[in-house]
Amino acid sequence: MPPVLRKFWDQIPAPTATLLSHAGSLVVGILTAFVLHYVLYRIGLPSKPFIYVAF
Amino acid sequence: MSDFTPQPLPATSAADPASRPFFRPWTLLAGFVLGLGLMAWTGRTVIQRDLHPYAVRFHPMIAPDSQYEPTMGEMRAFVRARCRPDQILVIVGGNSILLGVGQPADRVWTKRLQEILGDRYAVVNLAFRGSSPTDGGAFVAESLRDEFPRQIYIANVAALQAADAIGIESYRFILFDAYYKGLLLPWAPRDQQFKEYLAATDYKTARFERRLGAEADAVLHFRDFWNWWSATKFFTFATPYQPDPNLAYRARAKFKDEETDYDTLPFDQRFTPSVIANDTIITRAYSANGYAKNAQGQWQLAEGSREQFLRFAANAFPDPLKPRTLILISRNSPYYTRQLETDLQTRDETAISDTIAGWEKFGYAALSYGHDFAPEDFGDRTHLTTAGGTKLAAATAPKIQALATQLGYLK
Repeated sequence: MPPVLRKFWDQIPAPTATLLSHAGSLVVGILTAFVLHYVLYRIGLPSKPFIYVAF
Repeated sequence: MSDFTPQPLPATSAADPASRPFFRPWTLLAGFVLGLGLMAWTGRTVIQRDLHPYAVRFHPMIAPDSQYEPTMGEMRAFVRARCRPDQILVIVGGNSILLGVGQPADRVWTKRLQEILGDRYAVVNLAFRGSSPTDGGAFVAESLRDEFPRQIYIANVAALQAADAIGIESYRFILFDAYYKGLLLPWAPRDQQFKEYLAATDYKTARFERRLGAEADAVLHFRDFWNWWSATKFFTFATPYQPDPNLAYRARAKFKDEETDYDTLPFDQRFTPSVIANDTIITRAYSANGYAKNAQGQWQLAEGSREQFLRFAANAFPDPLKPRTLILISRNSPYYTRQLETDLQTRDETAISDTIAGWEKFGYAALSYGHDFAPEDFGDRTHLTTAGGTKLAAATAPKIQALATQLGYLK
């Protein structure tokens, strides 16, 4: 962690820091799920459109 | 000897800033699981509503032509929004001919078919460009067999065209979706063929990954969620198929169905010399495979070709669904067929008769159309103009009504 952020983090009262770390981790977890969900959709699509040729 | 003396670690406590973790791994994991669960639940929920309330068919901006792959959930909702439980459901599958390529949305042949059949029936167009009879629309109809037990499925083929039970590669994403969501009937020939398809040595890894994706999607509903997002919010990436580059990210449900209107397209733009040359070759080959003249001078299908065709017809649809399936046999435009020698015209007619007899042998209904159509009923070699679509609807409607009576749907 960068020193400036570490200093800021250290100045936050303990209960608040605990709450923030849980909230932040939860949000990061949800965002990771969101990204993975999209990636699963996107990699399943063909890389090129279906080109229709009448037969 | 070493002068190093181990020192006790300093005591830490929750109040000690240095001991405070910035990340909480278990909370992060909980968030990840919660997020996936929320996305899956949302996908499963939103796909139950009709994403395309103004569409009469899956036009290119909501089809694989533009890298948009409709899901089973999406197409099932499309059907539910257009058919009441008291109506007889008529699902039109098949290829671009039945999709109505060349006919604008307000004059597409399935609208005319709906007008002829009346309110007792609900006609839903689930045909796709280049699709086979056993692709998308077929799987959707099969998946709705209990919800809409009074249903008729229509698709088209050329004479003696094989209809593979697992569809064609371009639309196999629909089979994966339906299969791994458990929406299909057990049907041994199809199950066996799909198993062999998955195990094919050359593509084993790619198909295993695809299977894995479909199994994950059955739980996580990512295709449902992101199709809902793409249709109603914004599309997430640019594709080469765009009416305008500025609209690359536009929500797909906002695009209009802008099908080419063959009625307004001049003849010489539709029938250029190169198109005529190519389509003449295709027309001449319409019934070429497998036919030879017998001792009496009549066209006869080789036994091997007949067996192959019959095997495909027998396996194409599960047995319980065969009686409610109407196969239309498409012909070429008389602009081309009238130029054929009488002998080739006779061969085509023999092939069409054999095709009808082959499908009917296994309990399907079958009908050819186009023998009395004029050149102006076709916009090109195979696709119909509005006038041709009207004639197709008029030819098909009595067969559908007869089928509905025969199946006891009108009691």
